[in-house]
Amino acid sequence: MRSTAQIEQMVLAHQGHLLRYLRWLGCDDNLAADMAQETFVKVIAGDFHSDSPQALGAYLRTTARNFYLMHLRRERRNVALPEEDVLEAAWAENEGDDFGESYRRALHECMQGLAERAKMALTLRYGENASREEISQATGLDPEGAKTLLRRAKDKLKECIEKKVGKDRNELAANGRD
Amino acid sequence: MNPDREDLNDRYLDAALRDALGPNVDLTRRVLRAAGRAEPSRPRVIALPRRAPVWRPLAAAAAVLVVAGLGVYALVQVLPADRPDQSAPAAATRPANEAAPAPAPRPHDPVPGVAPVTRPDEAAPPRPKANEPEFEPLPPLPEPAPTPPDEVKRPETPAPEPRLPDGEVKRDPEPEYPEGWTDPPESWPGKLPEGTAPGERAVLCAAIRPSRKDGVRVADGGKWKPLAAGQVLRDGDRVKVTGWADFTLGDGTLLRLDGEMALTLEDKTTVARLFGGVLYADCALPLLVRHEALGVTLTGQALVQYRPRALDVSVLLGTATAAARELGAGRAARLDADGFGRDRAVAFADLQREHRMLKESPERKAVREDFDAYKGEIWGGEVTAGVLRGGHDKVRGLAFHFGPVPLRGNEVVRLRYRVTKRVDLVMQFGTTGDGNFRHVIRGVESGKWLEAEIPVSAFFTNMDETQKLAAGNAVRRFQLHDDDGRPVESEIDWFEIVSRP
Repeated sequence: MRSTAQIEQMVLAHQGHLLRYLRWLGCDDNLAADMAQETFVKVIAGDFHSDSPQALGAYLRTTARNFYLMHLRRERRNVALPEEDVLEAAWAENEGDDFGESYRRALHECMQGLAERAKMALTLRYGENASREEISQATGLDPEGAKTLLRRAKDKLKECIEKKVGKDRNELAANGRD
Repeated sequence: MNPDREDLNDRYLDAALRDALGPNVDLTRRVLRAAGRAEPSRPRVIALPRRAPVWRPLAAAAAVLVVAGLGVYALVQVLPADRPDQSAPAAATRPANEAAPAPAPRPHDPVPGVAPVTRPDEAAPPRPKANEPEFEPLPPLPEPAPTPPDEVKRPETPAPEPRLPDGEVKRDPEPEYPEGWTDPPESWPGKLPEGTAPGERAVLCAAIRPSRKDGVRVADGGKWKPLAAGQVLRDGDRVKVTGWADFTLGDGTLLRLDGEMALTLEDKTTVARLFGGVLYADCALPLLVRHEALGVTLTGQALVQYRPRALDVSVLLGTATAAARELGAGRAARLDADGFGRDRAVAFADLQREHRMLKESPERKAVREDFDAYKGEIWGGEVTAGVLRGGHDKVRGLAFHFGPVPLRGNEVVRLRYRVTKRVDLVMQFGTTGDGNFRHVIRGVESGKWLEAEIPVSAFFTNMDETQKLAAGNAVRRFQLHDDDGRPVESEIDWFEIVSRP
């Protein structure tokens, strides 16, 4: 049975990637926090142990995904998630084997290369949950312009991150991983 | 790459951006509490906010200077008076003390002097699962946790009465209506004193409208039983809803539930204790929604969603108050043991998209008059066979009295009416202190029953069209007459004022 200190250590080590995973599946912030909490409690109650952080991470993700699917059923929501193997492959491709550290570093660097207005729009959208109207007011664009600004900024980020992380997803797809 | 994969990569970028730019989240305390473990006694390292204001280092430096200055000053005060050479520098430190900037409170800092809501350390009862059986043992309703003085700020709540023994009837359950609150129509069944017979628990709800047959079940002796025709809900009754159901309480409040709740009374305040799902409330009087040790008082229209050890509160009208913090209209936030979290904007359209039960807009009837048993004052007519008829008085036309009903400004007026000749018909509200407000319908067809739906905001004063009926006005009379002042025979079959999101 884990001690309080071990539980704390596990949560601190894995909460970031678990919350990111749940958001990636489609949870909003609050739901992601709920699902992550339930996942940790389940793992603590089941007393699952692994010396490998990767194995524990995979176990947490599977548990979290099941909780999310149960939540969708309970809420009678029809959200189609891709098959588990597709999900895991896409997650591994982005997250890498360092719990997304390289990706986050690349994202941080690529953000520096964006125009100030694009940075502001992304910060408002993802940092403050601002609506498109609020972003358009802050950037001086009409709502459609704000939408285009966000889309272009994300396209640039994707391109830049792919280069920095050294991934070529088209190549991976051609090699049959899809 | 297939579209699924492309979409997943896009979503990963979204998640990473939220991760990088959004607020820091630390689940350690929540998890330890949920797992029934004591929180760590040693201090934990908590990540600093991402964007620390620039003035903080300056404020810290100023605070150090102030402390140093005070120290020197105190030292000088205790020194013997015959050492004047040391008093000068001490005096010089005093302006620094006065100039020290006091840091402005941050929006999410706890309010000084206000104790946050606390909850017991033991693990919460297990959450109901999706595949729960038809019957489940019902735990007894938990006693409300002792409420710290600042936990719930109740508007004008009277001092608590001593609790009556079980089974004892409250002889005077009449709620004290704070000024500005909607007086429920006399025609409603289940008004608190009337629905309660000696030896019975108080009736809290007598009008229930399920969205589907047998959609409402009531806990009865440890089992769920379908709601029987004409069954009322009494203090302490617990219901579970499949689909959704509307519950009109004795005070006129409308609750729409998709989930499970119990209705109770606490010091004359109605309490909805939520055990799962979603509750929409349009309150005629303040309503307290509880979940475990949490409590939030609603005064207008709000949606409350059950979460493990938390409530998601979205306010559309009025306020939601918990732990001495008020959430205003158009804002949503999560309420947990630490109080309300960060709030965000919310609109009814957002909630409608998210919750199927709101697809059909909920409507609370602030006034409903069918003229079946009308006993109020009438001008220029009379009630016959359930219809108000008249209009011979060319000055006053046909009018009837009700209420008074304070308005919030978002109501609509509906009525079924008929006139005997084509007219420009004035529909007019009399208010308690602000004169008359009118709305004109041009060219009303004669001899046909017609139904009208008019927002109260479309009524304006006779003298000034820009002065409209709005929140704060209280209406007490409704009147029909011809715009040209000629007598016109008119009839009203039914009339209602409806509040909706």
